[in-house]
Amino acid sequence: MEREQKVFVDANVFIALLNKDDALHERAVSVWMQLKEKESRVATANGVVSEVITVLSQRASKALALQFADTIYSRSRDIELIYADEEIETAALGHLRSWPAKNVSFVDAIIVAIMKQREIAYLASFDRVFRAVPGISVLPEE
Amino acid sequence: MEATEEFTITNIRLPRRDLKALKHAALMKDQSVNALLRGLINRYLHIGQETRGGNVGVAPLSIWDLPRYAGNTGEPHLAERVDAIAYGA
Repeated sequence: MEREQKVFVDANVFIALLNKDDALHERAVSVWMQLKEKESRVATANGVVSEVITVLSQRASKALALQFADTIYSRSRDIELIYADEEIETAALGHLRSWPAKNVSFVDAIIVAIMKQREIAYLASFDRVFRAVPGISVLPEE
Repeated sequence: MEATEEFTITNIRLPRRDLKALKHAALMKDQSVNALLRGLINRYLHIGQETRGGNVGVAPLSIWDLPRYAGNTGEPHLAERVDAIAYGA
């Protein structure tokens, strides 16, 4: 990956980053440090933020969920928060229809729609379903 | 908790029923009581600031500082189970 590339960040990476007990924590920290070193521009979507807050609040702690929310909502210069509009949701429905895998969520389809629309090539995610999507390079590489 | 952390031993006075509950909780999480307590303390000191009445809503300096706010949850598979937890999938 070249320096200063834009990278979309999925919910599982944020969650693994913030959960020291997570089996994926060390890998998430490693990816995060690589992105920082390469001065990557990171982006995520409101649907992803919603997933992270929900999971952390329900299974970790409300304090951790709110810390994440405060960070995301108050630091717009460090991370681009993309809100899915009607155009993105319509495109996401198309991706969902044509996606062969069964275990995908609508937020997964929205991620693909946003990445295609914004021409973001890299996705930081531990979800294997994205590895089969043409035009998307998933980090960390296997 | 860092592997290089220097540890100390302390005596904590607490009700017997609480110790029993802690042992039960540790057993359920397949952890030692020590590990459970260290996780709880770590969470309180580093991310539970509003509980202590200080630095309410203070965000880190940068998005890159997020790992500094990581806490122990006793949950090893949260990242793999986002859809299951968020949507009951």
